[in-house]
Amino acid sequence: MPSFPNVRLASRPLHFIYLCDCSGSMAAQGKMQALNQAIRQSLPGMARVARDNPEAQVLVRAVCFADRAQWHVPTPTPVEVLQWQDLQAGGVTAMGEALELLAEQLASPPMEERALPPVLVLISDGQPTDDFESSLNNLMGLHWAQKAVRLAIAMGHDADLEVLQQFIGTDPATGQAFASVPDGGISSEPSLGLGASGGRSPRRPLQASNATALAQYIQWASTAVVGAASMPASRIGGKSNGEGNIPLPELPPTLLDPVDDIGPVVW
Amino acid sequence: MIPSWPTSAGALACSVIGAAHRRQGKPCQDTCLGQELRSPRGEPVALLLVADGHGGQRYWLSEVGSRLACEQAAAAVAAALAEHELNQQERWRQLLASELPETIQARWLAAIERDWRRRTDAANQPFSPLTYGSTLGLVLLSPCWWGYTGLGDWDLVRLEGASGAELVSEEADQEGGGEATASLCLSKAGRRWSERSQLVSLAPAAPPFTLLLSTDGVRKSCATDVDFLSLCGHLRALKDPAELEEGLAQITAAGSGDDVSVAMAHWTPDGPPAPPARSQHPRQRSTAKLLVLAGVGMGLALGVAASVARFRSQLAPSQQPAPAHHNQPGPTQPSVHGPTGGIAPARSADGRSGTRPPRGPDREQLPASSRPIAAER
Repeated sequence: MPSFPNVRLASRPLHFIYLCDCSGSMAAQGKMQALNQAIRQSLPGMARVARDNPEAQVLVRAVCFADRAQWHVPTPTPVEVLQWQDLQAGGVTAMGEALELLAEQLASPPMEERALPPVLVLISDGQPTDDFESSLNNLMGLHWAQKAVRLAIAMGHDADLEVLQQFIGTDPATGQAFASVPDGGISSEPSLGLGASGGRSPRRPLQASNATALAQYIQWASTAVVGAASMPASRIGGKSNGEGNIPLPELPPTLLDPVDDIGPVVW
Repeated sequence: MIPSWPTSAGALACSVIGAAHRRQGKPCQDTCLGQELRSPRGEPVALLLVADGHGGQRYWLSEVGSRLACEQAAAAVAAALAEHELNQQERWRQLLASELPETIQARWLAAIERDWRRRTDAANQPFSPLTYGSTLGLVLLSPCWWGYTGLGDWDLVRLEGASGAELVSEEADQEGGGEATASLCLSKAGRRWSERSQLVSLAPAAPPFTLLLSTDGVRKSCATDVDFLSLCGHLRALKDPAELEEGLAQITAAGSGDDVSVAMAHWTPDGPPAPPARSQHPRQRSTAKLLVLAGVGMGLALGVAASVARFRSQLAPSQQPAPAHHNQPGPTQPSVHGPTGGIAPARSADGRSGTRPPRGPDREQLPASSRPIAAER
């Protein structure tokens, strides 16, 4: 068996980063509680996907933002050992500052030279109260931000869908931004929530109007998307590939009238 | 005119199925080739090819696409070699930048369409080149110059001396991000070929060097590019194809999990290439000045006979090479599957063949002047 001294052969890290809105409005109607529970419940599934894909080191972090943004899970933590501490709501929505914190970590260094496309999940129920656009521009100047899989979940109907779509970017299939994906899966407006093919698209904000829908979207992001990002198949480049940074898996089916242990909350 | 100074060039090539692909029951989508060709004047030319099928669901025949890419590229190069003298460097520069790419792409498109029409599982479905999407990297090493062309996310490294290693060519970031790459199946790929084309003149007194061509699975298995270049140095030192196969299996298992392919050629100014020792076991052909030109996984004669028989039984009649050529490669009669070289079948980490049986090109596509002297296990 040949040996390769002084060569670091390594599986590639897959950085999964939550950006969680912890503004005061998240305290209403059990939204904060639902978010904490959804993330906590998603971890075993994410760990299972990580075990099934040993070529990826799934490392989780989280940023929370209210009056200020700060790292809630500052160290890239293997999902198998992550213990989720509850987020607390209170304050305004420093979403732009959260993107600044993220940008510091997606720069190279500290980002590894070789990594899988990071998965960034922005969750918000409102509108940024700081300079979101310049922070986003700064972030998107970074190689790893451009390569990242960017997802957004709107909690309730007060979330700023335009801002969330800006974070995701335009739909690669059409070059256009779309309105959100309603958690019922079918929009009453033909142009709302539907992609060019008429189907739902994760390249648009996922709108969760209850705890069950939120949990399903977070489960999807932390398992199906992590699985797809763990072993991305190569594919053709160019605007026309219509797949974004990785071909995203199908969205989960969602329920219109969920009942779970948080209660039938509609945001 | 044949250069007055002697040269020798050697090549070794191997593809190994990715650890993740093996676990998931997917075929190896890589193909590689290391082959020595001869110009009409008898000058030796090493040809290295690697091709990496895209692997996603919409590219479900990409393992066939990568194999046909190598076959068609080898045939196109052989035809060009028969027509153009090696000392016409500017002409070869043009060939590498535009004419060979156009020819290869046209031949590849025709070959995949032929393959599609033969398929029973393609009934009533429209033909699309996307189905066969693959990258292709091509390197030529002649006595007086070396050059490359291709498109996609392959890497080319030049190694010189004890520790000199330079990443000569890599793909620029592609629109689409992630693992997006240029592909033979793109309709307007011409510009992409020319971006990855180069010809470098060689002085007679040039120091020995090695060119190492690899698919992206190798580089992605390394923590950094420094590690990748170090790894290339270690791979260069492997003279035994079985060792190379074992090394690649180790790389994919400890690294990216992707299919991995390497094709490399050594250039030394101190001796003419030795004739292929076809009757000799590959492990015995490792003297310092010996030209070692190998296809994938050289190996045991018994294994060769068995695998060839198995592969031939899986071929459609029209795909089978002429019996007269089979297992009897000679200086002017290549064999694609024979014990002394050709298109490399994928190997799993434990040495078993991948799930894709290697198949030969149509007879008319065989390079007329090639001299494969590699063996497969």
